[in-house]
Amino acid sequence: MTLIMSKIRIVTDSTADLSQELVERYQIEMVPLTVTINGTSYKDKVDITNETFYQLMQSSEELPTTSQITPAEFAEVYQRIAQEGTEHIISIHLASDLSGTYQSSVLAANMVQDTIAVHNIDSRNATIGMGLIVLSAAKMVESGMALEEILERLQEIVAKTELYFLLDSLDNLHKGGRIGKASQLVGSLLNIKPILCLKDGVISAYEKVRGNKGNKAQERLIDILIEKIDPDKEVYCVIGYCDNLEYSQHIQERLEGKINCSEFVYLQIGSVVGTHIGMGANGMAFYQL
Amino acid sequence: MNYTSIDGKQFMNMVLAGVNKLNADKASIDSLNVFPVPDGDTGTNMSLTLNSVARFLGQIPEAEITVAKVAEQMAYGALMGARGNSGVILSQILGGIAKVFATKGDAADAKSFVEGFANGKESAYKAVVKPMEGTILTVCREASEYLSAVYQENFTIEDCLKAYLEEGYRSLDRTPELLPVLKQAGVVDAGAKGLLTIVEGMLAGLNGQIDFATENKQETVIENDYPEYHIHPDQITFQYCTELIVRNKKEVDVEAARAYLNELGDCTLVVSAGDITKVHVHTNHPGQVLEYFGSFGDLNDIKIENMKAQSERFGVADETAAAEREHKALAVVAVSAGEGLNEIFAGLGVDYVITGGQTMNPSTEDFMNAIEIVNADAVILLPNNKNIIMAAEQAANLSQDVQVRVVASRTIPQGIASLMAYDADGDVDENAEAMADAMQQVRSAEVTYAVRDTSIDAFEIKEGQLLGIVEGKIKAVGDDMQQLICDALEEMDMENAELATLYYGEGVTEDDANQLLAYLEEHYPDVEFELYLGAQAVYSYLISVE
Repeated sequence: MTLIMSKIRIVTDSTADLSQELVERYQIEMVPLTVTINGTSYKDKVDITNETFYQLMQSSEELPTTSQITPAEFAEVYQRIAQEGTEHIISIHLASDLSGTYQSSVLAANMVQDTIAVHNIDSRNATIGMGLIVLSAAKMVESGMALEEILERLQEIVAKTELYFLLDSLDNLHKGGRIGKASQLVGSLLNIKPILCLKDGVISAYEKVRGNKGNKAQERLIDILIEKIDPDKEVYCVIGYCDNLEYSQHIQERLEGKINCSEFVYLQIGSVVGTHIGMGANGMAFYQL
Repeated sequence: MNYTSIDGKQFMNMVLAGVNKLNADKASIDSLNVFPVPDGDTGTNMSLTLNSVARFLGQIPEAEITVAKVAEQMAYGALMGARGNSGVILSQILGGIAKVFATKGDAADAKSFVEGFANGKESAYKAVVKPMEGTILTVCREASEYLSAVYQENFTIEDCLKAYLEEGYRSLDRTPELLPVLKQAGVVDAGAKGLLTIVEGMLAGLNGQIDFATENKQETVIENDYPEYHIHPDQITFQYCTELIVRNKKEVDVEAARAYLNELGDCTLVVSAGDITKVHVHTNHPGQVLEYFGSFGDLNDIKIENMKAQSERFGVADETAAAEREHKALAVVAVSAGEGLNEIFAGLGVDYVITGGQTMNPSTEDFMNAIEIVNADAVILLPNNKNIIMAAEQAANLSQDVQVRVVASRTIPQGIASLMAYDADGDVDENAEAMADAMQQVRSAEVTYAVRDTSIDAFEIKEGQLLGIVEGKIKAVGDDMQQLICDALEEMDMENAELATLYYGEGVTEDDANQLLAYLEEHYPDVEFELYLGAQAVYSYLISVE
């Protein structure tokens, strides 16, 4: 069987947290970051599955570490794709505010500029928020839309994508140094489940919900989504989970009929972002045009 | 005496006599409080407000005492010292009166009192968003309207005050008809009684009496009854007003302590009750005072004020404190009532905690100082007590350089809930709005004990019994803590509750609190319970359900 290669290909990194199925379906090149746990390094989603990673994380005393993709790694990928007859690459990456991965992709694009045209997109988001953007790009490519129009639309989608997520605790985010404006919550004596928002590359503490069991916070997250989503406009969304798929399904159940959404996509939040937000995180990314 | 006109000194004596009369009678005014709860008593709050008036009057140099100057200082002192809702309304009445007297140079006639009382009434009504009848407002209105109606050209000042009091007391007797809670408790309005007490004092002051014997003084209750100020020296001999509270580790010999302080200064006050001793003195050696009392136990609520610097409004100490804090865009100031709660507030991003103290009612000035200390462009105030909201709002109105918003939290749990929506990087108005919404998510209750016998709604309450106050209303009365808390929780919609939080007070042991927690967890298996040390005074437990 011969694959019909599109003239436009999408490259992203493993923090988009796309499933293997989606990667194959849209011929997306998902370059892995490296995650190190208990002294061993793994290529994200290549050498280690999300499930194994979360099992290791639970038993590990130390926080895992992650490292960004180097320009050389990106350049190699770009060159390989160029040889497959691709004319344009749209390379979408983890928010430049949170990681150097986007910067690496820009450097790599310069390195290969004589070979292939790479259009770098800073997703200003992460995990399922970025996954949603990548997926939208892939669908536009598949529909045969012109490159310029795709790039223009992506600008709008990036600007409008919001990710609301609920954490079990702020510990990992704090230890990993990615806490940003949510830092005011660290050190509270009370049990607090933070609901955070990631938009335009900035993580902010959207709301705090008291309690340790977290049911209250889970319902509150859904209430916030209902408040934020305009029911009269079509919404594109991805629901994300680490180890709690059941709650994700509950999100869908409660949203159905309240928002105008034709497809609920589920993605598992992977090891890199999981390292920073901890187990038990859940959320939803969406945009409305 | 048939005075038709008075000068500044006479006016000052009248005001000070009013202050002293209220101080002397405050226990009987406190006993009129509808709720038999040892917190935020009307008499105490009015007395503290007036003591601030006395303090500011004492700063006028002898040679500069005029009617206008006394009026000005009276208004400022009342405004700054205003504590509790009754204190804030009183400060507005005095402010209104002062506006009239400030135009009188150094001679106020009988007509000035007619105009003054009328303007006091106007100013008080304007200050209250929803004026409630059957309170100090009604009495100050009816008394001043009556005075205006009966006033004749030949009236002396004494005639005016007597007419005001005559109708004032009739009006006071009518307050239970206007306000059902008063009727139920079998009392008249405490704030209104306080106002008339002050005017009575002024009348006596007009006739030369400035001191009054204190009636039914309770030795067990420590209040901030600082010495009366009826000497106005040209110079302040003792520069530092020094106050502190000792948590005694060993017993303080009150007589010996007073004798010691009298050697160091004047205006000495030492009161001891249980394991707490309250100290006040004007001295040039505050350090020696601290040393001396430190030997008896831990020192708390230490306050040393430079009374000379005070005459230029705020003391130097405050400005230094402001300079030490890094400038912020937005800050939160919360009133708290215990060390555990202070820490919880700090952990939620509160920049400055005003300790409520014995009566839990900080003054407008306390808020003004806190606003200055946090050094921010905008400040959100959390009063966390319904009786403190007006003092906070008064501070917000007085603040000129800082944008101040009051999130009108009526309880500590509401204050904590409001902070769940606080975003330190956000806009002050958006924050205030979100916080006000968030605080509606909790139902609050307080557990304390009755300080006297009374009957409220269906409850016959005996002194010393436990009270469960839910959303400001007494909903449970009893002798067993566990049962009482269950009864209170039943009034808090536990059916729809996910989380209940208990903050235990300084009088509760950790073991007792844990036992209660275990019992409640078993009793309400569907609700998540959390227990924290609040270490608040007066309230054994503060409870929130959400």
